[in-house]
Amino acid sequence: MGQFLQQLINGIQIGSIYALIALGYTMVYGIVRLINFAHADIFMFGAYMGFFLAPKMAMIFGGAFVPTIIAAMLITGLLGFIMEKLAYRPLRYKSRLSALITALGVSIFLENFCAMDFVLFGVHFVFGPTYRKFPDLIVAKNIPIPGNLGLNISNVLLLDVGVSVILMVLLFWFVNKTLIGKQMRAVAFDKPTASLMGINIDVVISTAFIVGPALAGAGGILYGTTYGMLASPFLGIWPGLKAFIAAVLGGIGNIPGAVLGAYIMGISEAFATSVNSNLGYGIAFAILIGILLIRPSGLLGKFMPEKV
Amino acid sequence: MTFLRTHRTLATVIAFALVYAVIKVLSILPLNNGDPLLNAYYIQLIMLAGINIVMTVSLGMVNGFTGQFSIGHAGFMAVGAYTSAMITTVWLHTSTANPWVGYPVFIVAILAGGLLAAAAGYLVGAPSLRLKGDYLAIVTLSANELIRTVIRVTEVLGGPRGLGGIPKFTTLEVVFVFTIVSVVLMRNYLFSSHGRSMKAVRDSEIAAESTGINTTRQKVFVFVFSAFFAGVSGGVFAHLLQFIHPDNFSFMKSLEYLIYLYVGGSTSISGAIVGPAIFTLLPELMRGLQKWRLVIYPLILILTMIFRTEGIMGLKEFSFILIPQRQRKEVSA
Amino acid sequence: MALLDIQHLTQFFGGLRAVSDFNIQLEHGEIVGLIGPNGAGKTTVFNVVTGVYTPTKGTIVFDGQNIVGRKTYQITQAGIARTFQNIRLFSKSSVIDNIKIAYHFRMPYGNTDAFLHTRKYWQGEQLVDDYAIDILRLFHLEGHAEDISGSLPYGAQRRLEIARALATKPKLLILDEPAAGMNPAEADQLMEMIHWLRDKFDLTILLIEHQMRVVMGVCERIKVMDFGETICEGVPEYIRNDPRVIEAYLGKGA
Repeated sequence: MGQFLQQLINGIQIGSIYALIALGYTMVYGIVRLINFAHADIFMFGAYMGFFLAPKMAMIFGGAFVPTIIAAMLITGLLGFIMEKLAYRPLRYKSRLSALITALGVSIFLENFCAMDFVLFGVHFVFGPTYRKFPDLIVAKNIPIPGNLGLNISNVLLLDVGVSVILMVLLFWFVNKTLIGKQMRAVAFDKPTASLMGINIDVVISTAFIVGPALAGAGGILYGTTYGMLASPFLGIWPGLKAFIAAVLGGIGNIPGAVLGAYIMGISEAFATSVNSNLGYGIAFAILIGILLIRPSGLLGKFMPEKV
Repeated sequence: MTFLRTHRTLATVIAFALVYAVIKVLSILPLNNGDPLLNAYYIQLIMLAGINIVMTVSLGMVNGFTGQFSIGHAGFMAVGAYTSAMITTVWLHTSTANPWVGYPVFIVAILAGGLLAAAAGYLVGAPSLRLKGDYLAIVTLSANELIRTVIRVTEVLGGPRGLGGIPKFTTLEVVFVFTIVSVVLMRNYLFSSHGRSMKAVRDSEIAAESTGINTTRQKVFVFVFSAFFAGVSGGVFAHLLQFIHPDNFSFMKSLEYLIYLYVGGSTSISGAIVGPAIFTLLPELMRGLQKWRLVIYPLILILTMIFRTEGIMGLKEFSFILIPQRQRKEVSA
Repeated sequence: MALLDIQHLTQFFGGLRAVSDFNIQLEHGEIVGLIGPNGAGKTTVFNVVTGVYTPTKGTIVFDGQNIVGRKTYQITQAGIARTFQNIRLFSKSSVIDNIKIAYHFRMPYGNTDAFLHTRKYWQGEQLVDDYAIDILRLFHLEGHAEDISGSLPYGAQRRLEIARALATKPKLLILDEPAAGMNPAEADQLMEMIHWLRDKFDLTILLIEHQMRVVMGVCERIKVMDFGETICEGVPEYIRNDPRVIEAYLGKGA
C-alpha cells in the first residue's frame, strides 16, 4: 500500500512537469496545427537559464526561486516569440510539412547552439557538455508523514505540484476569461472566420508562442530543482517527447486534455519504472498507441470528419 | 552519343559503373603522401550515404508520394538490423572468411530482416493508416520508440549494451548493388499504375476512392514495402558498422531521414537521393568550420524550407530516373 | 427494373437528420436533377449513394445489387462514378495520369509486374495510354495531356473531372454542381455535353445544380429537397410553378 501510494505521488510529481511542457505543445498545435519540436529545447533552455541566473538573482533579490522562475519564463517567452517570428511565420501559408521540418531544424539549432560557449551581458554561457549541478533554489527537506506507510514526500515535490497547479489555474483563467484568451480559442476553432471577425491572427499566434514557452521555461526550473542536475543541451528531448505524447493522449489542441494526459503519463511511467527502468520509458508509447487506436482524437479531443 | 540517348537504361548502367570505378580507383591509388584520396573513413561515409539513400527513398514512397506522414522509419531499420545480425552472428556464426558460405547467408539474413520489418510495418500500418495526418505520425513515432524499448529489455538481443561482433559483409560493392537495385525497384513501382494511384491517394484520398482505388490497401501495401526496404537497409547497415545499439535507431534517427527527404524534395525520387547524399557528406565538407558546423547545418535546413519549400528538387527528376515516353500517334481531330 | 432504386433513405449526423425518408428510382438513360436550398441534404444523398457515409436507414439497390455498406471504391467499380462540388483532381499529377488512375482497377498487371516492369507491365501501360488519350480527345484535352492538372484553367478542370469519372466506365454518373462557377456560355456548353454524354456512353445521370437554367434545360425529371425532406417531384414545367418550391427557395409570401 505504501509502495503504491509512493509511486502514485512520484507520478504526480513528474506528471506536473510534463503538464507544463505539454500545455505549450497543445496550445501551439491548437492554433497553428504545428508540432513544435523545438518546444522541448525551450524547456531545456529554461532549465539552463535557471542554472545561470539563480546566483545573480540570489544576489539581487535575496531569494532565488521566485525571481529565477519568473526570469526564466520571461526569457523563454521571448525566445518563443522570436522563434515564431523568424522561422515559422515565413512558412505560415506554405505546406504544414515544411513548417514541421523547420521546427526540427530550430530544435537541432537550439541544441547545438547551446552546446557552444559564448559570453553575453557578462555571463559566460556554457551549457554542456558536462553535467552541471543545478543551484539549490530551495533547501530540500523531507516532510514527515504520520502513520507507518513509509512515504517519502519532500518539499520539492510539493513545490513542483504547487507551482504547476498555480500556473495551470492562471492559464485557464487567461484562456477563458481574458479577451486575448477568448481570441485564441476562436482562432483555434476556425482561423479564417476568426480573422473575418477582426481578430488579429498575428497577435494571437505570437501570444501562443510566448505563453507556451514561458510555461515550458517554468517546467525547466522545476526539472532542475527536482533532479538537481543538468546533463547537456540535449536534455529536453525525452521529457519533451513524453510531454508531447501526453498532449496527444489527452487530445492535442485541448488544454485540459494535455493536463490529463500528462498526469496519466507521469503516473503510468512511475509505476512501470518501479518494475524496470526501460519499461518505464516504453510504457508511454504503448499506452498512446492503445488509446489512439480506440480514440483517434485522444481522450478529450474532438474528431472532425473531412467534409466532402 | 545518339546511341546512348536512345538506350537510356544502358547509359545509366554505364554511368553508375563509371562512378563506381572512379570511387574504387580513388580509394586504391596512393597520392604523393602515400595514402589514397578516399581513405577507409571516406569510403565508409560513401557506403553510409548509399544506405541513407535507400532509407530516404523508401520513406519518400510513404511520405512524399502517398501523402502519409510516417516519422518512425528507423524502427523498421532496427528490426531489419537486429534480425539479420542475429541470424549471421548469433545463430549461424558466419564470418567473412569463407565468402561462398558467408554471402548467401548474409543475403538470406538481410532479406529475412526486410521481411520481418515488413511484418512490423503491417502491424503498425494496417490499423493506423486509417487515421489521418498527424495521428499516423504519432503512432509511427511511438512504434519506433516501442521497438527500441523492446530491444533494450530483450537480453538475447544484447539489451542496452548493444550487439557486437557482426561480420563485415557490407563492402562498397554490396552497397552499390543494394542501393541501385532498391532504388530501381521503387522507381519502377512509382512509374506504374500502382504508383499513380499512390499519388492519387496523396492528392485527394476521397477522389481516389471514388475513382475505384482501394486506398486503404494501396496505403498499407506502400507502407509495408517501405518498411521492407528500411529493414534490408538496417541489415546492410549492421554488417557495415559491425556493432549495433538500440540508440542507433531512436526517433532522432527517424527525424534525420525526414530532414534528408524534405530538404532534397519529398515529391521526387531524385530529391530523396540528393538529400541524404548531401547531408551525409556535408558535415565532412564543412570540416573547416569545426564545431560550428553543427549550428550551421540546421540553419541550412531552416533556410531551405523557407526559401525552397518543395525541397531542392521540387517535382523535378533526373532524366535517368524517368521512364522513356513512347511517341503517341498523332491523330487529326 | 430501375437502375438505381433508393427506398426510405434516412441519414442522421448525431442528432441532426440530414436526410429523411428519401426515395428515388432512376430508369436507365434518364437525366434527373436534385435541387433544393443549401443544407437541404442533396450532397448527403450523393455521399450515401457513393458509400462515403453508411445510411442510418434505408436500402439502395443499384443494377440489381444492394450497395448499402459497400466501400466507395467498390461502388465505383460496380458502376457509379461521381464528380465533386469543389473540384477534386489529382492536382500534382499530369492530366493524362488523372485519367489513367481511373483505369487502375481494370489494370491487368499486379504489384510484382509494377516492381519489375515485366512485359505485362509494358503491355498494360500501352493499353492504358491509348485508352486515356482517346478519352482526352473526346473532351478536347489531348493538347494538355502532359500538363500538371492543377495548372489547367477552371473550365478545363471541370471537364477533366467529368472525363475522369467517365474513364471508370460507369453506368450511372453523378454530378455535384457541375455548372458551379461557370458563365452562361460555359453553362450552355455543359448542358450540351451532358446530353451528349448520356447518348454517347449510354449513361444515366443524376445531378445537383443550383443554376436553374441548367437544371431546367437538361433534366427530364426533378426532385426538390428542403431540410432533408422531399417536397416535390416532377417534370421541369411542373416544378417551376409549384408553390412549395418557390417557398423553399424564396420564403413564404414571395
